[in-house]
Amino acid sequence: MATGSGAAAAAADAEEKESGSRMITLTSNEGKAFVVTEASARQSATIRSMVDDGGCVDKGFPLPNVDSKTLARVIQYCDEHGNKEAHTVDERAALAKFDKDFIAELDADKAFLYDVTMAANYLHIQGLFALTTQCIADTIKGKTPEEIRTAFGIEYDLTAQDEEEIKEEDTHA
Amino acid sequence: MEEPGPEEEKKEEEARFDFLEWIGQDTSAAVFTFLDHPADLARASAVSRSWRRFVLCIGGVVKIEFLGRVQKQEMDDLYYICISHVQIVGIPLPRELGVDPYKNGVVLKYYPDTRRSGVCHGESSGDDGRNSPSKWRNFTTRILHSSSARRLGWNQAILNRLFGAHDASEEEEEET
Repeated sequence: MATGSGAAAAAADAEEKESGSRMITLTSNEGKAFVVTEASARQSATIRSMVDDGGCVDKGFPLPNVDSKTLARVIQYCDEHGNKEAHTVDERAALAKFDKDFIAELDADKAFLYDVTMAANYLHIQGLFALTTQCIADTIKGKTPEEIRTAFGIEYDLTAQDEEEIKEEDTHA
Repeated sequence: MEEPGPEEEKKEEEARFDFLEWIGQDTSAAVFTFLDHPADLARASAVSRSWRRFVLCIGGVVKIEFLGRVQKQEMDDLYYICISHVQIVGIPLPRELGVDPYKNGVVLKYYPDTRRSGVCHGESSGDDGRNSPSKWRNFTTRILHSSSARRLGWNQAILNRLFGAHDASEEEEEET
């Protein structure tokens, strides 16, 4: 039993190592090429399925929806999560710290945060997508409508009728 | 409403960060599902027109548009299309939120204390799944039996179809 699962784990490890040693080229919509490890690229379900479908690993993957700046940042996330182990408590804590710093930086630049969110959605990077959408949600939490407008730079375009409705909504018990 | 001057335009450029438009509706829906406190939803619905439309959806009919996917079969000149996946994202209204008819539509009401009874408060997201059907039922009952909903001219047949006929009273049938 123990040896069986040990062998399976070893096989999985070997497979992971083998796939991890391959390099994959991702090309932004500006034509800039980024070479990443397969383990890093596999953070993206979109690329993972293309690779597993016996796709054109050698030719690389053009990403027409992602610009260089965004792709570089997304890859930073994928490298951290794909290339590093997260088995021990310390390793997991390090990853959590990385996520925290990563999102704090993005939070300061909303436009960039949206671009990264879009890329995470397009590339199906679950962890990154959850991280960015949670960050946007956190910005909304506990704020008044006015504060939300300021935080997101949203134009006030409510009509008198909307205002009346909202006033009506506010007159609760 | 003034014409935007040059300065105004610049401001507008800075202001074009409404993520609803930027990241699209499906991603925005993912954002709003993180807002598990009903007060946040209530406040979000008062941010702008697009947010009002987006945050609050009561009943309604789903329309699926096939943008750029027009395809005719030569044999019979008819349109065929196969939908493999349709997703409607959202969460049923929590207990603290109610809907009341108002003018030509409905307004969202937030009752922070009156009907809390320990249900749904962020932390208790674990039992959401179990509670949702009853909450939904509660909501449909409220809207179906509120006489003002009828005054508004909500068509009973449509309501029945939306909420399932089992929630509606039987005697309404002959009216249709």
